[in-house]
Amino acid sequence: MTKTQRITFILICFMLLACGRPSVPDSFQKESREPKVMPDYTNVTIPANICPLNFRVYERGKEIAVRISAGNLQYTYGDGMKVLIDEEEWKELLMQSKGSKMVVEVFVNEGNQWMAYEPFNIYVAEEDIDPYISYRLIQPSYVAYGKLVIAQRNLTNFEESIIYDNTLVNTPQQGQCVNCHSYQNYHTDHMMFHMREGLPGTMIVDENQIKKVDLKTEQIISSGVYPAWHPTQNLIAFSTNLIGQTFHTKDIAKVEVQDTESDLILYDVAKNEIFTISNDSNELETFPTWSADGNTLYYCSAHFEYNNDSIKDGEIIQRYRDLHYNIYARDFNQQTHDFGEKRLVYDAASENKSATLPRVSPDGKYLTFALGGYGCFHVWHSDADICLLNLQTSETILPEELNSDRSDSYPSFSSNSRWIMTASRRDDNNYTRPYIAYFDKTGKCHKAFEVPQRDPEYYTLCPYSFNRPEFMIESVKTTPEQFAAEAKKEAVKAHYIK
Amino acid sequence: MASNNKQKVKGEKQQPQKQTQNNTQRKKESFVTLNKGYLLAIIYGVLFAAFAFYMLAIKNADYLYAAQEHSLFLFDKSFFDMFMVKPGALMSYLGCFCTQFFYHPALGTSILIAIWLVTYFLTIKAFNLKGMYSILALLPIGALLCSETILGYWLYYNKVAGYWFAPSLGLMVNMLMIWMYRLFHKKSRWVDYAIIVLWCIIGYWATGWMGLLATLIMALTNVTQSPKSRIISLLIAVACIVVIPIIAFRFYTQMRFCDAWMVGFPVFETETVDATRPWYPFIVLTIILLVLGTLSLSTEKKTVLLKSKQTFLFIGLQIICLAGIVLCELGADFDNYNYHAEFRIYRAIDENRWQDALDEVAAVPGNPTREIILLRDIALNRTGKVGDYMFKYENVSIPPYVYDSLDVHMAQTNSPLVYLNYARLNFATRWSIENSVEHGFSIDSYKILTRCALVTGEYNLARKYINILKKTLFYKEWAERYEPMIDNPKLIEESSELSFLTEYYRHFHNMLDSDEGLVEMYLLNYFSNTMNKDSKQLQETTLYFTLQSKDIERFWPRFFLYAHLHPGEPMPIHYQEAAYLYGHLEHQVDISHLPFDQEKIVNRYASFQQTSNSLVQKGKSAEEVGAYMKPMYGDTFWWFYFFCRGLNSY
Repeated sequence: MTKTQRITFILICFMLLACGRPSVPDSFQKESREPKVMPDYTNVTIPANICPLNFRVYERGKEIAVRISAGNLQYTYGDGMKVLIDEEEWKELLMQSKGSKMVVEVFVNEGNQWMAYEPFNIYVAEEDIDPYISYRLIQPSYVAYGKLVIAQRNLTNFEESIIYDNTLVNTPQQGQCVNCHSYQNYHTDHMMFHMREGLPGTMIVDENQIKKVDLKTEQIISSGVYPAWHPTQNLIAFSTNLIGQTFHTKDIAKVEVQDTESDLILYDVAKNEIFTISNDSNELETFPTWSADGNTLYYCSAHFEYNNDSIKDGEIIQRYRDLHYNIYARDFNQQTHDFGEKRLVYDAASENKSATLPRVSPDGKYLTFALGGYGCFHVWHSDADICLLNLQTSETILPEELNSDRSDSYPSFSSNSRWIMTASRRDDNNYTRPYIAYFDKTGKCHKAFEVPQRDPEYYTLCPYSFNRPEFMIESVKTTPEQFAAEAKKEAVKAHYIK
Repeated sequence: MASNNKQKVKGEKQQPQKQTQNNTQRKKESFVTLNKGYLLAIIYGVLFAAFAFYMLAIKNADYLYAAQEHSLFLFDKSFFDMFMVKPGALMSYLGCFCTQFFYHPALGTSILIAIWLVTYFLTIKAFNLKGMYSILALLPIGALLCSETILGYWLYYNKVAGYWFAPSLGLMVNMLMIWMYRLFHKKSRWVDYAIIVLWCIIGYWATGWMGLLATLIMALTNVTQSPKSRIISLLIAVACIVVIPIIAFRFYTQMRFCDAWMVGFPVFETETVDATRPWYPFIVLTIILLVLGTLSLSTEKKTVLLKSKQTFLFIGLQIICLAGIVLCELGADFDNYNYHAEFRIYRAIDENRWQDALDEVAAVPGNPTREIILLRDIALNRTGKVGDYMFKYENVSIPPYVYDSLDVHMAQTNSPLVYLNYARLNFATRWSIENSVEHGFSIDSYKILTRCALVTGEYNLARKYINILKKTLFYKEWAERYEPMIDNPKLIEESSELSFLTEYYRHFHNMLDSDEGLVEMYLLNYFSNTMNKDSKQLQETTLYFTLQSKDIERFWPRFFLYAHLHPGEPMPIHYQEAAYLYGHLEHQVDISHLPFDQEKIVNRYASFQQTSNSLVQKGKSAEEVGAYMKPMYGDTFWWFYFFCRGLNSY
């Protein structure tokens, strides 16, 4: 071997060593508890098609060695205090542990000594999850909004792309709020979202056509707000709401969002026609959602009689704790588009509670909703939890594995009914993050996991809340530029029929 | 031209002996000229650096410190990723990195000046400015110097991340590229074209609008090629400038099409105001660069002109440039006293240096802004002097000075710190976040949010903010000071700063409310309408706000409650003044049994009444009476009550 060859060999060895995996220490002291890791992936249940669960260890120490075992497979990781898992190796681990579990052993070098923590498991379910979710990224502000983005995330890897970004049309003189993205039956060829303030209108994708409509007519109190696509027909049920917000002077809920009035309408996308579903002046009807077969419309409603009609805003602020929403249902005739009489599905008011944001599982067996002490905007209510109602037995459960001591709201089912996603503020009470829990065939929830990110510290630094997380089985094909071009056009006025 | 000269020299080497001697003589001359040229350039650079250092590190140190507090740089990849959503964002990112060095204004200024000096010498090279013309290279960095201090209250409404460094870094990079282009463009016209296209892409990606400008200048400076190739260069440059932003628009989802060509250009707009003044330095900069590019001056010919007794041109050019830079910077510098005082007082309050804050307030030469008065009362409240001193300071306020129609609102400037110090924590949180949403998160907002979260008991939220601040260069220590409180909340009670806030917070009741963006009016209404007998601290706050609001009805119960809660303690002088005045004004409360200070209250009020009555009898107007009596009684609640009209709150 020549001198040059020797140097090259040493250099290559050095580089390989530098890039190598950490090795599990031979000697260590045992710690009889599981390590603190963020996101908390200890003993969670995950789908077999999820991206790697990268995490950071929050224990005293400078370096870690983490061994993940599944069947006869073993890989070790450690990058400072972070665990950054190779995507291909992760797939192998998932394949090995599908329907079973993988074991994670964490070793922390405290300087003089290695500590070995109690291993924890990551269970891998048999059922996959929908490959995409979408959400609005919004800073948890109250009135101001600058940049607002509706983004979609591929759960099988770390790819995130923009569906719509208001900075494409914002001007300093006129900002634009975007909200309430919604899809028909988890598909994206029928989807919509609203735009407020600047270039207002409701953006609807109807097959390959994009159109911007103005849903406000003289006969209804507002434009369409909270949407629900009919699972098979080209119809969207909307609530119409007069929304206001005031601020708690001390409560860490910080802000209270209330409706002074709200009703329900049905919008026929193809005909551009609006029909009133419900507009009882003593009822605050909102948050419509369809059953999977499309034969039932569920919604929330709070009975509220004003003492003085001339100061509705002031009165509802004074009586904000008196607002208790129940869940109702009305049968829907898909031929005539007629609705039946309302029937009470869940009586939250009698428990001095308030039930909002209902969703029915695609298998038709369960209804999930957010349950809090009062009001409709549970994302700001720390006591809000996700509740599951068995539609066959009328039994309700508040699964501990899914909930936290902070706000858990906006639940939704995956298209196979086996995964429930919530918008949770359990991390810090202020920033909403998507959490997903396995909901097995026996009706049992398993410990929820936070949607993984490439950098495990991502959520710590991210200044955005993940608002309205929704499952999708495919990505949105319409580009942000196409939406922006349509946004600049005049909205087509919808016609009110009855 | 430079290459032509070199070719000439090469040719001359082959001439006979006599010509060689002439050549040697000429070389000596040109060596002297060259040295003189560099000497002049160095002198200009040193003069400029000294002037810039004075204007920034000395005259605007408080402002620069505030600038870095209103900026943010985190050593984290996701922070970098958040930037890379627009062309030119690299300069913003690096700009934010450099801005943090204003934590030590002299250090930040030195870095900025170093960038400018490099840019200055690169400009000389890029435009081949020799001898006396090297002074022209000062003009671009002179324009940038003006941009540093021109903002005024736009500081609070600035949406341009890394504003204080990004254009300077952009200019430096582009000058380097233009110079490199000049070095390369003698090779082949194809190399020329390639560089133009390449730099339009890379320069635009890295520096935004400035990259496009540099592309155009490259084509303009292409003087050695044939006219035909020069025209082709220009056409290629123009085509690239038109097309590349359009292509980029397809890749960036966070850029408006109409902004594609001006991306990175500092724009100052609100819903109602479109400021033009902060643009001036950048417009001037653009014009200067285009002119320099077009002329692409060479000095050798001009040196001959100089020898032809055209000294006046030399002197004239130097004077115009130097005086122009100095005068423009002095004109651009926002040297309003209150504006700077607000920064100093704000920092002192933020760092719990209460007496320093009061000293700054006392040093204000004229009428302060309401913000200064609010901050002053916070400092007085913290030092327990509010009842004795709040009217000893100037209370007649003026609105903040602005040079355009910018509508300055306290909610958007320093309201979070004000709310924090009165433990109206949801409002402090709200405005910290609202302002950050509008103008970007900052060190300042994270510091406020951290303290709010600690006092409200949202420890995980506090941990989030502390973790963010720990990723900064200069606020890691600050964050680590508060970090132990998360796991040991007892430390919050042991902290003099935070326990003062928890004392308020504990005694507040929750309700739904809104300040409607009017910070001072909200505080006046809230505290004037609050009664509390369980907390001496909160009770006194409610009392002194009734003095500010001149609310007689609400004053009395709070006054007597104060007396009840402080038995055996001397009654602060302003509370006595108010009680004595209100007792005499309305006669609804019997004050005869109250032990007023004979000298400071009873006798002085008699004298106050006598003086004012005699002036009124002489037919003086209320304003005239107030002005006459101010030197004698301006330190009393009485004068404030009668003559201080209109809060000028904003």
